[in-house]
Amino acid sequence: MYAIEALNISKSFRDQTVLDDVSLQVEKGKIYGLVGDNGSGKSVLLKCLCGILPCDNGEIRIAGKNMKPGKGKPPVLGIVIEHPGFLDSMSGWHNLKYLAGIRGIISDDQIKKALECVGLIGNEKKKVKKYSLGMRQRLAIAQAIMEDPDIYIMDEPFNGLDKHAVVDMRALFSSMREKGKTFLLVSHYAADIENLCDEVFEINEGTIKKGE
Amino acid sequence: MAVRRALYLCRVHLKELFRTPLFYAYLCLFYVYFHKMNSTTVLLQQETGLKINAWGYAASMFSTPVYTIVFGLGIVLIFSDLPLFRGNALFESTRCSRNVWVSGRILYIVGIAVFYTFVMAALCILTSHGAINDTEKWGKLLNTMANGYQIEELEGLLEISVNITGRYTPIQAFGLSFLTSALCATFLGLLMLLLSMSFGRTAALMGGSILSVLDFVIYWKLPYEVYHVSPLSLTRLNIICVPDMPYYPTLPYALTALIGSSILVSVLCVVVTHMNRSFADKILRNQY
Repeated sequence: MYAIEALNISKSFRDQTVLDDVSLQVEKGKIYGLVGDNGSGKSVLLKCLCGILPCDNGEIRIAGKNMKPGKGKPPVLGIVIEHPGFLDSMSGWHNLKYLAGIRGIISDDQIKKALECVGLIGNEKKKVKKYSLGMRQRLAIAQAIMEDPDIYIMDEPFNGLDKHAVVDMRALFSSMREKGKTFLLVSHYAADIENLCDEVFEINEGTIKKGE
Repeated sequence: MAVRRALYLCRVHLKELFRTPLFYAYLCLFYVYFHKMNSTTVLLQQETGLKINAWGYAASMFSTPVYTIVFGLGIVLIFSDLPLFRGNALFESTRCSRNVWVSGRILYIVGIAVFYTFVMAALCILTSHGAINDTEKWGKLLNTMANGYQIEELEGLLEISVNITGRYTPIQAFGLSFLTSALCATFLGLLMLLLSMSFGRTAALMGGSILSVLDFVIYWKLPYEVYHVSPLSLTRLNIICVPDMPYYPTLPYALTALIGSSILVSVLCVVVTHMNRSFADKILRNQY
C-alpha cells in the first residue's frame, strides 16, 4: 500500500489544462521531491493531494483511503502550504495551541516539542507579527509536525529559511524518515530538496516524470 | 467529537471578538447613542420627579423604528467579518470537517446575537440610570403614553400601547422584546454567513443593511403587509402585539417566522459549505 497514490489526475481552469493525466506513487517511510518551474502545476497537484482543490478526473488515495475530490481532508496529513498564515496578534505558542485544540489530541508538551524541533523555543511567546519570514516558516512546519501524522505534504518548506535553518530542517526530516514518516516536498528549486529525497519527480506543463 | 470541535471553534471566535479593538469601538458608539437618546428621559424625570419602569422603558424603546435601525445596523457591523476568515483559516479548516467548521460559525452567531441583545438592553437601562426604577407596574408616564396621550419629550423615543400594557407586565414585555430581538439578530447573522459564503462579503453586507432599514422604509412608504417579511419589524411589540389588525404580523407568527427562518438558513449554510468543492482553496485565496 502506498502512502500517497494519485491515479490519472487531471485538472483544468477554464481552457487551461494544468494537470494532464498525472499519476504518482509515494511509498511509506521515504522522502519524495516534486520539482518544476513556476506555473508547471506542482502546487495545484499538491493542493489536489491535500484535498484543498478538487481534481476533475482521477483518483487519490491517502494511506489507502480513497479520497473523493473535495470531500474533506484526511486527518493523517501534516500540511505546509506556501505563504503560511497565522493570527498575527497572538504568539507562536498560542497559534499552535489554538490549532491543536481543534483536534484536541495532543498535550502542551507535544506542542513544546514541535517548537523545539524547529528551533523556535525562546521565541514562542513573541507575537507572530514580530516573526521574520523564516520564523513563520518554522512555525508552519511546527504546526504540521506537532500532531505527529504519518504523512507530510509540504509546499516550498525551505522558503525564507536561512542556510543553517535549512540544514536543521533537512536533519529533522531525515530523522523523521527513520521513524517511518513519509514526505512529499515540493520546490521550484531542485537543489533545495534533491540531496534529501529518496526519489524526485519532475513536473512540466502538467505532466510528471521521474527525475534523473 | 464533532460537537466538541464546533463548540471549540465557537469559543475561540468569541474570545477573538473580545480581543478586537473594533468591538470596543462599537460599544462606545452604542453607549453614545443611548446616552444621547436617554438624556431627554433623564431631564424629564428631573423636571417631573416621575420615574419610568426600567423593563417597560427598554421594551418601549425597542419598539421604535429608529432604535430598530440602530439595532439592525449594529448586527451588520458586528457580523461584517463573517465567515471569520483569519490568517490561519486554512490550517483551521484542515483540522476539521466542513460541517464542523460551519457549525462552529453558526454557534458563534447564536452566542453573539444573544450577547449583543443583552448589551443593547443593558446600555439602554444603564444610561438612563436615575430616571428609571424597578417596580412591577408600568408607571404613570408609560401608562399615559399607552393610552394615546402625547408626551412631547418622549415622542419618537418610546412606543407603547394599551395592547402591551394591558396584556403584559413590564418584565414580560421586556422578555418578549429580548427574545424576538435575539432571534432576529441570529437570523440576520446566519443570513449574512450564507450570503457571504455564496456570493461574497459585499453581498452579505448589502443584504444585512437592506433588511436593517426595511422596517423604517415600511414605516414611511410601503404597505404594512410587508412587515411580515421584515425581520426587524417582528421584534417591535407595537406591531406584533396588536390584535385585530390583519395586515400586522402576530406574536406567534413572529416567533415561528424568526425561529423557522433561522433553522432554514442554518441548514442552507451547511448545505452550501458541503456542496462547495473548492471550499479550502477559496479559504486559501480568501475569496469570500
